[in-house]
Amino acid sequence: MSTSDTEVPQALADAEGARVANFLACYGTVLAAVAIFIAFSLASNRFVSAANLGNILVQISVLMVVSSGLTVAVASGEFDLSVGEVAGLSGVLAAGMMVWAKLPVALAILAPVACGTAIGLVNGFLVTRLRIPSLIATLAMGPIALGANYAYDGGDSIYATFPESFYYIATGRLFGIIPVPIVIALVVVAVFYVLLNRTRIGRAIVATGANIQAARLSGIAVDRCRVLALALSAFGAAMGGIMLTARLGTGQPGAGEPYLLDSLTAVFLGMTAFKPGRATVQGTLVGVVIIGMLDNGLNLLGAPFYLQNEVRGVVMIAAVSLAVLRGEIRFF
Amino acid sequence: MAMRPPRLSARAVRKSFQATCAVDGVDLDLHAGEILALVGANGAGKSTLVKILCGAIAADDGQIAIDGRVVAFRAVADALAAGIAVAHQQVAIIPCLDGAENIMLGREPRRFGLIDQAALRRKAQALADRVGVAIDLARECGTLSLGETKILDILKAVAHDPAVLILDEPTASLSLAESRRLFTFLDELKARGLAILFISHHLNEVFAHCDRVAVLKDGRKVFDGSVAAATPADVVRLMVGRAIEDTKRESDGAAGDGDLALSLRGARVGRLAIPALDIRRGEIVGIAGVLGAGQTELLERLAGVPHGASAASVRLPGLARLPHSVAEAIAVGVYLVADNRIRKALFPGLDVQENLASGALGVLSRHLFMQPGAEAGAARDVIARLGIKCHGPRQDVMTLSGGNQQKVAFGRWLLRMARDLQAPPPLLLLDNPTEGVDVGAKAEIYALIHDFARKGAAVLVASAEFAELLALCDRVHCIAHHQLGAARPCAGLTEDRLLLEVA
Repeated sequence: MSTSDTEVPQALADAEGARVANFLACYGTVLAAVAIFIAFSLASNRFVSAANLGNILVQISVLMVVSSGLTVAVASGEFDLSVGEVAGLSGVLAAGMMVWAKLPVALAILAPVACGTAIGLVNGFLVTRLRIPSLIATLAMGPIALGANYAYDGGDSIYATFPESFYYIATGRLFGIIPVPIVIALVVVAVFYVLLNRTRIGRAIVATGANIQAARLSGIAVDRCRVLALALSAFGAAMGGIMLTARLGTGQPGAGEPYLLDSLTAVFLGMTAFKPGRATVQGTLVGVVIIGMLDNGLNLLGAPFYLQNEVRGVVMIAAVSLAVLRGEIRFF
Repeated sequence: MAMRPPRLSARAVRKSFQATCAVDGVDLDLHAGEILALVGANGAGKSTLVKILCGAIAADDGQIAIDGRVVAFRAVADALAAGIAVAHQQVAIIPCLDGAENIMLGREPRRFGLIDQAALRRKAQALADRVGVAIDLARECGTLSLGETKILDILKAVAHDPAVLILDEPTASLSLAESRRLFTFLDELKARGLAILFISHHLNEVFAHCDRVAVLKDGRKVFDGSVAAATPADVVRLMVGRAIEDTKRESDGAAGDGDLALSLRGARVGRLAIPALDIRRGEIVGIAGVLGAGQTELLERLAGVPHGASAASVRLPGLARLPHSVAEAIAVGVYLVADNRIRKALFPGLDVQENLASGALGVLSRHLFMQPGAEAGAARDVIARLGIKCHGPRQDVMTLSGGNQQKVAFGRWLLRMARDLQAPPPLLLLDNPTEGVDVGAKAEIYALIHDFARKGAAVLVASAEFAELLALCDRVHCIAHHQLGAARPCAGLTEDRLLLEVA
């Protein structure tokens, strides 16, 4: 830390005690992630293999992208419960545009992302102009997006062979080694990290989330921040949906749904790490890794399939109750 | 008759919070059929005493007796069961229920496990009839006037059939006519033998309607006697109880000669009328008024918050109207330090540096990106200049003391002024700038405000602490009857005078 500490020894001793407590509050979740890693390593010798670890990273890449976007929304003080359905819609749109409309791959990626982002803008409009709480506005937007999804594909999956270049998103390897989905996920994480931590609008978004009234009285355009945050959240979801379609090799209308609970869990887990009470991209990353390890590890151990669901719910409750008990998060 | 013990008697009640003794050995007797007024300046210990009497907090020492029987309260429910009911300043009336439902809330008569609507209405109506309340109890409370809601709220307390009724500033939000109606109601309750403890800032009410008055100052009872034995001026003297300290602003002659920083004519913000308000550069102008008199809305409106307002003429630097947005107000150099720092000025969970930078994001960024070096440097400067005590700029702002939090609230604008070279000379709007701040920090904040003015800032400060206004200001306006009075020089004014003006 700084070398200009000129406080008296007593104050330093107090600060030391506070620092230890502070360290645990900030890194407890990271320690938990390490503990989970060690536990699975001991329980299964296949867990730590390079192939499996790479596998985990590929598996969590979609969740990482979706959760990073959601993190921005939560940082601005808003929920986005439409991320799952937006991901599903954009994945199906991308498939349909390539298979049915025969659009070039680039366009079949850009158009669904634009469409998803537009849904986020509508969410922002509902929240800031019509003053519907984001919890409700985005909850309602979910089925609307799902309905549009069904209307587009008739409710069926789109099975077909996509252009070869599209699969590069899921199975390609940068420089022949690094899986492309991991690269995409890391780039998205980095961009959102820089956005929230280094840019003016990012700081305004965080301030709005911390205290919207104080932000307003500071001359921050709070409504613009909330609209942008919800648009970015939907943007992340749409990107994730396309990556998912590339991985599955089909456009499945229901594929996005599970990502709502997973990304919310990741963000809430993340709010207990690094900067307690704040939604941060780096915290969410830890949350995503924990979820990924739990899924993969339980699979390797041959745990019954339903246990994954139970564990997800329990982890969500544990993360939120920890944060609420320590007064780091307040709901309503 | 004289042998009967008082309905409520408190003896040597004491309560400390950390180092400060909020209530310091207070004796209080309250008899059946009387209204006892409890008065005192802010921080004199009134609310702490009320909280002890109604069981919300436990006293450190002393005893409370009801009808001569010593009682001990562990919770509000205990006090209620023992016969002490409170109507708090904020009404606890649920707007979507009707009057009868509100009065019987939580104690609804039941039949076969379901609410017996007929019995509920009968009981509520019987109570209202008994004390002569003519409000239609079948009406949804959201449609009633503020005064009617207040009466229902008191009726709800009376429904518990208490021996003692405590009313915490019942007239604070009422118009004169509504207050009169409330007092007719209280007289009826008194005639029925209730003992009423009445807390108020309005001394004329106290002297017109109460039987006795008890004055608290710094946690001690300094007077207790019949209203006939004292005058409002006596009571004010007792409340203040000291010569004003010599923190008074030295008028250096320059104040008042600067350019006009703000001029309002024929304005109205919410219910507050502002015939004329002028502030010059280098001048500190005060607004004296009881809490909720409309000063907060006035300051916020000047800072660009869209409260309903009108004005015949407005002159701000570079603006001939009220600002449309906070951003516009900041652009012309109007900065507000809001009254409730936790709710309106600070960002909980963000650190000191982020809080300090929050008012100057544009100044501290280039091409959309924050300049981490500039931000850290600016924050360090402000922390050093204001003497903000923290482990470092990265400490969570909520872990600071109240005084240091308030310095951060100030520091946000200081940082902006220091870093924004194009910033116009500022007009500072300060709403209760030392709320919940200890004496030492208070003096530092006063020095800071004086320093702002010396460097050419125009300052408008509203405060419920009149000693503060006298210590800070060159001139002061009083709010009385929803109107901002004419400005008067502080030299020669006393706290007593101001209290009488706004009472």
